[in-house]
Formats: sequence, structure tokens, C-alpha cells
Amino acid sequence: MKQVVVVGIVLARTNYGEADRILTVLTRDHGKVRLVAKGVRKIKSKMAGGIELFSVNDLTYTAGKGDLGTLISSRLKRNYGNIVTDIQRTMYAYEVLKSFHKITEDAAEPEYFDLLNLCLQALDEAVPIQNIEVWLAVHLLSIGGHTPDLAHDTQGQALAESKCYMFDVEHMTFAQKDQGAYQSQHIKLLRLALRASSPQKLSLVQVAQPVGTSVNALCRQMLRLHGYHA
Amino acid sequence: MANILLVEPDTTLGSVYKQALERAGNTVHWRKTAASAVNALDQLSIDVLILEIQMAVHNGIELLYEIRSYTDWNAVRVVLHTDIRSSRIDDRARRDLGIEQVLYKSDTSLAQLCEAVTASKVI
Repeated sequence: MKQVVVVGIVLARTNYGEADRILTVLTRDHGKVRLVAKGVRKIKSKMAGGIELFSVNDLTYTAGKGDLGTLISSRLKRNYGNIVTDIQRTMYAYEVLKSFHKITEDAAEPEYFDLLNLCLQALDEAVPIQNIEVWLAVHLLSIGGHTPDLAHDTQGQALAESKCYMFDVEHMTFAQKDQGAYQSQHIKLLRLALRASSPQKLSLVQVAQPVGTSVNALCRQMLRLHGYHA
Repeated sequence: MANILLVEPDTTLGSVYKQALERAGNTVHWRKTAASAVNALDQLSIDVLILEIQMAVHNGIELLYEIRSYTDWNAVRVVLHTDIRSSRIDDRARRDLGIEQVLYKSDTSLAQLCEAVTASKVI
């Protein structure tokens, strides 16, 4: 049978019979794969260490006739073990895995693997969760073709420093409105998040707490509307 | 009464909680780590899990996600009895993990802990 070697991040695990587990793994080059890991429920299984959550693993499996492969071996490549030293990070990390599981239901482009990897890395390095959320949101939207227009308003006018805006989530565009909740600093933060190659880079920027909170809420709203939340 | 798995890493507190829950008529199995709790769940028939989520190596949230990933353990009732304030456990996690109650240790008497077990739907 054909053996496949992949680098993957486990998104979900569920039981399969007495001692086996079904792993749903996000890989960079083979999309999302489902693998049976035999005997891993037994604590002393040699493979157990290689299929932990919040880690990147080298996995070798044989492709089955259906969509279920069989895991032959696994090796821990990188463990983001600091995540679980904080309860808030742990909860958020599980939420992120669930979101990626849902987002990649139909197709898993290589970008999703990279995004998840960077996100776990940032959580491991104790980057503030709010920064990670904003960064992740704009990049997920971007991959999905829902990038917010951060240059022009609904009338096609360039976004201005002195004006206030509301956000039209359906059209992913700011609309000018007196007393609108969003101003230039909100838009700048979204632009920075989109340009930053990692959450760590975004964290180098000092952002006033209310602006960060408001942008984070907007990002959640955008994700919800476009079906990204688990 | 209930068959309880108490997961409490602190030796003194664990001993006190175990005695109180047993005096209330429950059978209590006390474990100090997430890994030993998984073993206990494998070997025993547990009705209610009373859990401190702040633990070394694997925390209680990890343990709960692990437990809920097994269909045969989905019926286990969960009461968090923890040093972490209830407000820090978000609603989504409560719902996803089937957490019935979150009791903040410093504000919870032994009687209230026992009541939480009695209030659990399984009893």
C-alpha cells in the first residue's frame, strides 16, 4: 500500500473502538486527512507523544480505500507546550482548532496550515490573545476572499483621517457616518494586521485598549457573518 | 448517591473534599493529575467529575476536551471546583465541555460542594 509522509497539526481526535483513535489532521500539502491511530488509547503507546494537540508532527500513513488512512508512525516536530500553562490560552487554542476544522470542511489550502501554525506559535509565545484574534481574523477573511476594503468607503471615496465610519459587514466596506464607531486608528490597526506576517509583528505596535477591543469585536462580527466561527 | 471522580492536585484540599463528599454518602475516587483521571475513567464507572482546572502538566480544560472526545464519556457530569473565577470560563467552553456548574473554591463551603453533586441531574 502507498505510504504518505506529511507534516500535520491534529485538529480533532475521537475514539474508534477499544483502543484506537481517529485523528483529523490538517497538513500543508495534502489538505485535511483522517487517520486511524491504532492502540493510542493505551497510555504507553509509542505513538502517543507524536499526536498531541497543539503540536506539529511528522506523520507517515497508508492511504486506505476510503477517506480514512492508517497512521504508521509519528514524530513530534514542534510542541507548543506553553499554551497549556494558561487556561485562557488553552481555551482559545481549542476554539481555534475547532474553527479551522470547520473552515477546512470542503477544502484545505496550504495557507490554512501556515496560518494555524503561526497562530499556535504566537499563543505559545504568550502574544496577547486579542492581537492574535485580530491578526487571525483578517488573514482568514483574506484567504477566503472576504478581505475588508481598507482603502475606500461605500461611495468609493478614499478613507479619510478626520472622518467617522460604520462598517457594512455585508459589503466588507466602511461607510461614512457622523458619530460612527470607527475612525482612522481602527482602520490603521486592520491594515497593520493584514500586512503583519505574524501576530508577533502586530504586537510590536502599541494600540489603545478600546481601539483593540472594538476592532476585535468587529473582526468577530465579520467572521460570524462569513461563517468562520465553529 | 453518586460515584464521584475528584480531580484535585492539592493533597490537603483533596483529603478534605473527599471526606466531606463521602460523609454525604457518595463514593469518591480521588486523583491528582489529568493522566491518572483518564485512567480512572477507563477503569471505573463515574457519574460526576469534580475538577480543579489548574493542574501541572495537563490542565483541566485539556482533560475535559480529552474526555469529551470519547463518546462513552459524554454522559459524565462535570462540576468545576476551582481557584479560577467563574467569569474566566467562557460560555462556549462551558457549553462545549458540558460543564454543569463552576464553583469558585474560596466562595464555596463543603456543604455547597456536596449540594452541587446532589443537584447534578444524574442523581
